[in-house]
Amino acid sequence: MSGFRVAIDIGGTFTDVVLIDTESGERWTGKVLSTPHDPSEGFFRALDIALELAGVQIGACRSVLHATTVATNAVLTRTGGPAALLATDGFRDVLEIARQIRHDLYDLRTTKPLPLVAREWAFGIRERLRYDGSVLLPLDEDSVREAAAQIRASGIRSVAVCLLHAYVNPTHEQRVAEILRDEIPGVSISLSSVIAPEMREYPRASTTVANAYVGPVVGSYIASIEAGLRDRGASSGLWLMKSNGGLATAATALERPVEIIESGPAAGLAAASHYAALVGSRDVVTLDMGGTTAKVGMIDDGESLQTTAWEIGSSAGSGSAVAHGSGLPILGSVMDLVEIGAGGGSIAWIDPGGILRVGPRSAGADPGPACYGRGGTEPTVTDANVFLGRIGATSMAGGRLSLDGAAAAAAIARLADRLGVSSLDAAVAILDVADSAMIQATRLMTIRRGLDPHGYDLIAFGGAGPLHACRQATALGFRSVIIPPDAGVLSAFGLLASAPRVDHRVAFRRRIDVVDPAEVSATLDRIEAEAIARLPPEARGGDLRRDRAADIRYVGQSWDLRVAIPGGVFDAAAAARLRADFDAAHERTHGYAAPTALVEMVHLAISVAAPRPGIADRAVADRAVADRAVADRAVADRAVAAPVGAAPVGAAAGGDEGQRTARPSGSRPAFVDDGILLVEVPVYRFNGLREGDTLAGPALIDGDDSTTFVAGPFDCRVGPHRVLHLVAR
Amino acid sequence: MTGPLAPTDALRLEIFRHALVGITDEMSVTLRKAAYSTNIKTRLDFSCSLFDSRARTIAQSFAQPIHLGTLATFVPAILATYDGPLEAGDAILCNQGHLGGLHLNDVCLVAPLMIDGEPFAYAVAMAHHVDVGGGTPGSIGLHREQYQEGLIIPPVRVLHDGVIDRSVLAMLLENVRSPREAEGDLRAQLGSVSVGLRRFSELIAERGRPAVRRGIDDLLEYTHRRSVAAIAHLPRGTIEATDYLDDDGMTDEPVKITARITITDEKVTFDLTGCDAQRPSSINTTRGGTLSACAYALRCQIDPDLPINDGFYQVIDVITTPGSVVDSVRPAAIGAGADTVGRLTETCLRAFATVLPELAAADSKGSMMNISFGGVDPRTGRYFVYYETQAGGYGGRSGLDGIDAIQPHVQNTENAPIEETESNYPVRFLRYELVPDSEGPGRWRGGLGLRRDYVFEGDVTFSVMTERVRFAPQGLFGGGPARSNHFLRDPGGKADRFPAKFTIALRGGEVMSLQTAGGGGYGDVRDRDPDLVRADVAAGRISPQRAREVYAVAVDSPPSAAERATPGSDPTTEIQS
Repeated sequence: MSGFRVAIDIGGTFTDVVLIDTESGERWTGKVLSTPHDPSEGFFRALDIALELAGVQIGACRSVLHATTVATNAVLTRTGGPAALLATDGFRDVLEIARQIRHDLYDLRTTKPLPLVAREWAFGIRERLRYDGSVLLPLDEDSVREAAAQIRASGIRSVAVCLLHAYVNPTHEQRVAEILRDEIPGVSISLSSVIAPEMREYPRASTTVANAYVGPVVGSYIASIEAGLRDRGASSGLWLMKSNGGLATAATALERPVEIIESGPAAGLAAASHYAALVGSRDVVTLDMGGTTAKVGMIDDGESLQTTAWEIGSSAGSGSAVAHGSGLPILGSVMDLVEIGAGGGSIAWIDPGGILRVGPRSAGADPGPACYGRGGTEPTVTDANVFLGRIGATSMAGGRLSLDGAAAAAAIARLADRLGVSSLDAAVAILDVADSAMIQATRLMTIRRGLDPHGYDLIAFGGAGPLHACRQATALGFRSVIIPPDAGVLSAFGLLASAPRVDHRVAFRRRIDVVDPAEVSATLDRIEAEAIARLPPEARGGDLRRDRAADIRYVGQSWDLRVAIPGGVFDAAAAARLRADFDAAHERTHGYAAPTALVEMVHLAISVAAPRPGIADRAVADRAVADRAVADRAVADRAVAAPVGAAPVGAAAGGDEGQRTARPSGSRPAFVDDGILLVEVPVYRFNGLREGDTLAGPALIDGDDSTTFVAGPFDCRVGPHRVLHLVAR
Repeated sequence: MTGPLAPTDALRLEIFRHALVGITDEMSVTLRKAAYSTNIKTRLDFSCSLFDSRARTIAQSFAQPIHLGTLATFVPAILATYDGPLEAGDAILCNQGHLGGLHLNDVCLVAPLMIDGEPFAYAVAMAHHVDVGGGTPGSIGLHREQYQEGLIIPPVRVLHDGVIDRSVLAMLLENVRSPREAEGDLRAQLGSVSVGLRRFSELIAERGRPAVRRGIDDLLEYTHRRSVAAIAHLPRGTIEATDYLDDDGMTDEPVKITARITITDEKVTFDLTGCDAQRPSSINTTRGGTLSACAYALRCQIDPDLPINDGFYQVIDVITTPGSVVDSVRPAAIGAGADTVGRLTETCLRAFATVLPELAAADSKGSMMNISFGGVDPRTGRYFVYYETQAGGYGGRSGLDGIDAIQPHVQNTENAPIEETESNYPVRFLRYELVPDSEGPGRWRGGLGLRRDYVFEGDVTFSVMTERVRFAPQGLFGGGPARSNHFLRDPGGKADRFPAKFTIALRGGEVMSLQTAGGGGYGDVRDRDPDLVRADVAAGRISPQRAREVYAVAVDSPPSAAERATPGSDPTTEIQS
């Protein structure tokens, strides 16, 4: 199908846009400063620039794709709502009590996260279900009407309902919804039995309330974007990125706005999945290292790894795997990421015991690292990279942002003096400490889950990821390192590589040895139909990917493990197989299995996804990017494209045909691992590399958005779509 | 103290520290996710550590500060007491509380990393088992001596050559009320230490033995130096405070807890010799529990980022009288000694408040709120036992109100979800909500306590071991006291009120209401911003009457929306008997 698609990703600092001609693969990219006071302003500025550069009308775009932080920000800054909560009488303080724990053990001035519904708007409703869903106390409809009258009078139009045991029996919640609709014109209702039908009232209420709380903000934001698109003559629909990496139409997103809370990181992972598929790698760890944090994620057997429980607003890199409670729990599929406070802007410092630390404080964009020359004086990871020649003075932003190497050196020297070591040793140590924190995060992602990094490739992106990737690979034994060509605008690109997807999970607590297989089959069929009904209508037909799974545990445990259920009929043999698969998963994850212990299923889960679109990828490029200093100017990316499939998948690691040794464009003094001095290291321009080129480390590859450091023991080969593939010799 | 680090070590020590903490975190995750009992898997009542060959703590992972001092005391004592052989693939089990645990429920597993026939390090996982036998379900009840509190396990080899000793296991399981949970939890502990040993072996393989040994020395030395630097910010001199436990449960006589804290250049000394002698009751604690209280109170005054290892413990001196309530000796019962740890903690915090008022908090709920119950489950016909603790109010702080319904200080256990508990145990809850008007008034008021009402499907034995029924949490710098703990049977009817420590038989259908204490206020209530009072009234935290009488703020607005929606929900109206 011909036409254009445009993708816009709004980040904390920049709003990125990618416009693509789906037939030719020609692409235009741009970057503008984000406009946090009104994100739609940046959205349209980016869109208009891309349209202008491409010389096309919005009417020619058959879809507008968008990753947004609007829902996240509404929660983080408590600017959503207002919303009300109806809970079982006697239990309306579920949000206030929360988990009753402190997230900071030794701070006498600690606080609990502020609930999204103030206590005055939490109402008790007289009704009660038993744990098995049977009715102990019928719903007192008058108690609902009394609450509704006060909500109506207050002007609140978004209501969450979370009744005890409603995940087993939703009828009371459903009747409450009917009454609310009768009593409050225009009300929007979030039912816990719909939003998160799972046991444990606090996370379920927290998720349902978050849905009610972000609804009004997301609704008006989407309305303003859609109005702007209509004004520009758009005929296409608006699509949004969900936390699970799937796309939703604006209409379906509005039904469950809580599902777009982690829109941005999901888009980056989607792009990484795309490139993993392009180079034929199914098992990948992702390293997204930006200015403030590094995020480690995982793609397992072609699918990015997800989790079903996380916290919004929790402090990144708290350092302890058992400390939580600093944020608000959200149930639902989300990319599983370990995030730590180590980025290019992370500041190096000496603690009171005299040892070198890095982060979590970041120099951010203002003043930024010392080498930005904007008044920063504290040494950062980026300054260390500049001092060690890993980043050239003219490597940033395609050479349009020149770096102040002297300022970086001065900042490093001050630190080195206090430590009593040479500047070189100090700079190398800054990188070592930052790398060790990331290695720890990567270890949590892999080894702690019983996964051996030797079976995985590492995809590194973000401004700083490609500089630090080889060290991760060496320390943890990754098979290879993959650097995608679009590291700087990867999230926007990821939107183009994504497809509609719905994850659905319901409580299903049955012992596996006595479960009726027909009931499992029927439930799986039912929730699959429900999930498909939640896909946008345009995505329901066609060849859907359907993944079924059960969350399983030993009877008596609280923490379950997800085990895939193969397609086909679920019979007694399938139940036995599932049990064996669970024992194996438990052994792998927790170090032991108990094959004679009783086992129970806790949830059944389904994921339905439309096929990802093929994207024509540029084969060569003569590329320019926006100058970061004058970021409001977008520059066309006029690339001649080769459609996907022109190069066979997996060719990157393939034979010797077409192999050429690339020629460096120059060299600069840089530090190579295990060296003692800076040595002349060959420098390659990314834009001068062609598919099939090879080069040997140590080497530096200066790209527009980032620099790749090819460590000494690595060979680099330029694969299809100019994906860099680094393998240790 | 040796000299400062060589410059190269200053550059690399942080990396070594990451590696060690990563190992103990991984041990914690393994234990938590594989455990069976709610107390471990949901409430995180456990602790995982690495020790070096000299039984010095080198890294720890835990969520409960009450474990700050337990393993550091327990593990050296276990290793000193155990006199059997120790080989690769072995692990030692022990719950002998007077060696350093809090109570017999704290079951400790120690596994050596053997190199050339010598232990190079130890991986340790200690977890609070829900029941270890004895006189009451949950093993935490009112007892005169330790022999009533359950099975006492001296250091015994439970794992040999990687295989569990079936006879030791059988001996253990035959003595506890919840053998299935006990076995599952013990296996989770074994999984945890095996992960710890595996990762530590990898670290040695990667760096070499000498480098690891030197790294450990450097890390402890570094931590010690930082700890000394941190206490340099505290004012020099001696501070003190005294408080009392309600009673010992056997008699009405209050138990005196007194702390004299002397801060010098290199040490903080806690002189606890003024505390009462041990009692023939479960309220006594151990050296391990006492160290936790002192270490916690100190950590709250200094750099929160300090690593927790032997280098930190070196700056703390604790002086006690053996045979006292804070350093009990056998046969003292210790099941509910955590409340003494809690009282000691807040007594030390009160002493620090005299010199660091801006950092201080008024009294919190001030009790562990140990609740346990057990009996025959009508759903299954099998014996069940259940244990939990409840939150309460946190004290007011300078510029900050206290937190509602939270676990304060050395305690940080999560609540068990209503739905999960009702699904797994023959109990139902009638209310789980904040208690209005339970705060201590002040310029910065205390947090509210909470109410949790239980009704059982069958007959149960129900125990509460707690505090702060008689002596309410106090305010600071002119702030007022909070409402104390209340325990009421049949709260809507006869409302029989119970003391702080009791074990009773409840029939199926009977209601027991727990209403926990609030936190004390900070500063004079007359200085409180009237708008804050009005907001508290609007939110139903404070009644209009209390606003008028205690805060002198007239609130003429109608009762809050929520109050109108749930008439009669104010629990304080039900307990005036």
